Amino acid sequence: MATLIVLTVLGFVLLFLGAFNQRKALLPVAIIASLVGIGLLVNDFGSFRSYFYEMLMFDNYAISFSVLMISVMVLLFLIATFHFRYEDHNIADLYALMLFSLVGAILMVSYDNLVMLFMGVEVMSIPLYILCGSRRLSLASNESALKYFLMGAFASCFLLFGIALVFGETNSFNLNVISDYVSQYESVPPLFAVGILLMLVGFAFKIGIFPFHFWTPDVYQGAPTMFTLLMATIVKTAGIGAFYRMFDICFSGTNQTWFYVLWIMAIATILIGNITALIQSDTKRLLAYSSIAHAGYLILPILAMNEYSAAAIFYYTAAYSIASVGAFGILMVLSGAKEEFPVDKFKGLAKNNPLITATLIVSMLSLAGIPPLAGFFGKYFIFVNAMGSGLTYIVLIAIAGSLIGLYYYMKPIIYAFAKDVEPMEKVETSTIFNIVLILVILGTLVMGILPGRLIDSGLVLF
Amino acid sequence: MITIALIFFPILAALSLLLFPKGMAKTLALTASVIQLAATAFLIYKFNPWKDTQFIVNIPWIDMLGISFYVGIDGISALMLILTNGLMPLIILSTFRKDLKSPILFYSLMLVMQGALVGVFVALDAFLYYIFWELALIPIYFIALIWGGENRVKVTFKFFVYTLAGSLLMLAAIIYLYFNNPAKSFAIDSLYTTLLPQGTQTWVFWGFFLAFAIKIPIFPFHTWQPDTYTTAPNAGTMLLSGIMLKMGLYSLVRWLFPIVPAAVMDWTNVALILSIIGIVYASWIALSQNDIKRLFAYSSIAHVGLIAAGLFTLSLSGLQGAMVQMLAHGINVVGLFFVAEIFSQRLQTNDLRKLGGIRQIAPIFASCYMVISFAAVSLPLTSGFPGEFLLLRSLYEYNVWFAAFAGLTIIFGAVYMLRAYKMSMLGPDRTDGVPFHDLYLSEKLVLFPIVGLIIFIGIYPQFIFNLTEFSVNKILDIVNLKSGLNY
Repeated sequence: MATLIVLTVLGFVLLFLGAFNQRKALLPVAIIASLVGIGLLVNDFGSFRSYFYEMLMFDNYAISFSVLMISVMVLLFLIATFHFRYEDHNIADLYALMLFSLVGAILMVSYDNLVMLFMGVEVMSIPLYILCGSRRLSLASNESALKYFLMGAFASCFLLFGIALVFGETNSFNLNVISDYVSQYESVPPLFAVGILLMLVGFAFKIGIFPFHFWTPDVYQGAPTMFTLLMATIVKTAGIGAFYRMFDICFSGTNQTWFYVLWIMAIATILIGNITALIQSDTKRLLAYSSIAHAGYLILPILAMNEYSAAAIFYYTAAYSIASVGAFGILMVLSGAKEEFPVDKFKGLAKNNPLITATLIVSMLSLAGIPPLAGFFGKYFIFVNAMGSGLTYIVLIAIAGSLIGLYYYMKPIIYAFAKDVEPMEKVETSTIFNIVLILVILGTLVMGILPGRLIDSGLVLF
Repeated sequence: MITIALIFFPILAALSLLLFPKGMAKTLALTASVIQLAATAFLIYKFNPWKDTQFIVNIPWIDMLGISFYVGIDGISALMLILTNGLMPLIILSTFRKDLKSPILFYSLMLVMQGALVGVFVALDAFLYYIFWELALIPIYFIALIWGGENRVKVTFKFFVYTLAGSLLMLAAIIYLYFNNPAKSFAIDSLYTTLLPQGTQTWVFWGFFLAFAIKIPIFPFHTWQPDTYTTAPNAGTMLLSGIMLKMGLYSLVRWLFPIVPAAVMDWTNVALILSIIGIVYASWIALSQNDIKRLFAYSSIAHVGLIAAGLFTLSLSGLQGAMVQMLAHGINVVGLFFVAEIFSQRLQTNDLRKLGGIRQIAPIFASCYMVISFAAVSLPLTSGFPGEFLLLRSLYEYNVWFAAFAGLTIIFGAVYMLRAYKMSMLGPDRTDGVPFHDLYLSEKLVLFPIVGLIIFIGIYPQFIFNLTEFSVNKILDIVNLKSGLNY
């Protein structure tokens, strides 16, 4: 809880720093805010404290996801220094907006009340609409912001409508009350069931699950790469975190209402995400479709809904976020001030840019799920988790999906080693940026080689 | 402890290569592989072939999922270690006269590959085994991609996707096994003692079999192989053909037969027929190849097809023959591809029609090549003979017709091998005045040990039989016991 206050207050401090032109102080303040936030959260670990008359509940689930998202945000702040080379208007505002968005994301994984859930979604999304459009003179950026805003508003409506119906039946916004209400029914009343499905649609919009994924590629492509990265990592983590929290606490007893709907959505998401990614020629669109596929894999633990599901989601989102930081970070450096970056522009990268190439290989292979990298264990835990609940068919489809995925994840790597072209010049990076790349490589390797510690502690977490 | 050292020493050596200057990379890599070989020799010396698995290390790794770092060595593993660690110095030495770009990366990848291969051969935990199996794929992919010849992007990619597809099916089978054994464990002991119902065994069988069939490769899953062998740099081809495809054969014995024996019995005819079609088909194609690397690639398909067929007879002579032949084929095929490498280094061609008359210019080279060719056609007193003899005998005991068709490999083998020898070494000199130097020292250091081993194994294969007999019998006992319970 103190974390939320620290992040919000320091967000405002950042705005003031911007007003007084203290640009050098921005990054340290943002990082300190995040680190203090992490410290406060870790300190609360295991305390299961509830705030504001049961509006928020900082249980271990909430704390773990919050720590994960803040840590990723630290990496993003570091990378952002590179983005601001090209974009030097209103930097302070952008920093502050990123922090506010993070506050919303934390609300989304710690809510204990549906009102707070909705608040979280909005607090996270509204800064993002602005961030997407932050490259004011670019048409693509504006288009992206507008599309994201319309779609986001649309999704919020669904979510809100669902919440209203659930409230109408149960007479409460509190998760525990709803959960008690569900447990007294063999099968829930129709209005409540419609509420569940509408909420599901709302979540599906936010995470980008078929058939509500159409906005993802355009928005991802048009937004400045820096904020695409924010969407791919923190927004996705928060969305899936909120989704699981809702369905785990409240709706796990109403399985028959939503299970097959979600089952079909998951299969379609995996297949469509992976197959459509195959034919993309732009790297950002490719990664956008890959993120759709990853959202599909992340549905599996929700379907499985057993005692390890939360740990599986946590591990997977962590692995996916770190690899995404690597992939989008490279993209940002290579594409410079432009929004698009065709895949074949990777040609000849390897010769003069060893660190960037190494990061490219590690993050792409991790996204593809090749052992012994983090992404493989993430997939593995999800598959085992789903098999444990008897979901054999969907696991086979997910395996087929990750095989298709291999094709497009290897493309940039293969291009990087192309011999028939002039080697690419050495790309100029900064020390901070190189440090982030090294952190990505190490993180992916360590998570892959020693998943035991993380997962064993994950058992204690949830 | 020595088992763990054998896995991680090459990997650490690979990492430490990065700290040294470019020029020292090859020497250091060779030193590391020789140290590894010495450690292996020490291990074999300590190893008692008449006892069950030894040098066991079992450390919990991911408790929650029942995964542990469980490794150990029995006779079959010991043989594969001899193969891997014995060939590695030769393969590294074979690149000594070549000027590679980014040598540090190249030798690092080679050493990582060695570590992963050792891991595959000693892992006794199914999950750990899978990790090493995949880990072995990545370095060879990059070796072929970065240092490969023309068309390498397409070819290596096909290879990568093909093998990974197989592996993922195997992963599904492994997860299935994990959930369906009472101990909820990946340890090989509990998988050996689990008796699945016959219907489900079939699914697990196909999950594993496809992965292995692609790797070995068995017809019709072989299409990645000739292209990859031709395109990869010769050292990579040696790794692939000499060691890596033995992973598939080894895994049949270790992970398929004793785990789902009833399904193996059900499908053994299918597997045998596929293997034998592969033998005849590959030999037939080899007859008309003019590219020497492609010819050796197809001959390799024929040879491993026979090994796979022998394994699927599930008899003592079949398995033991396969053991000898795995070692013999590994040594031999490294020799063959090194011969191809010497041609392409000296004359920049792999085309048999552009070679000829080299015997008079380079007699030492010619003699070495001749011995290796003899081993490839399994002449008695060379290493090819005892293995192929036992394999054909086991097939004969199983079904005469199978033996008759599989036996064609020897006739065809003699034709294409001697044709290749004739076209390249005999006849008029067609080298167009390009000087053909006889063997250099580093080349002698590769070819002489190979020739020596070919003759030694040909004369005294008994040491291999002694090494593996106990373990092979143990596997067969489990197979018979479990399939007896199923029927």
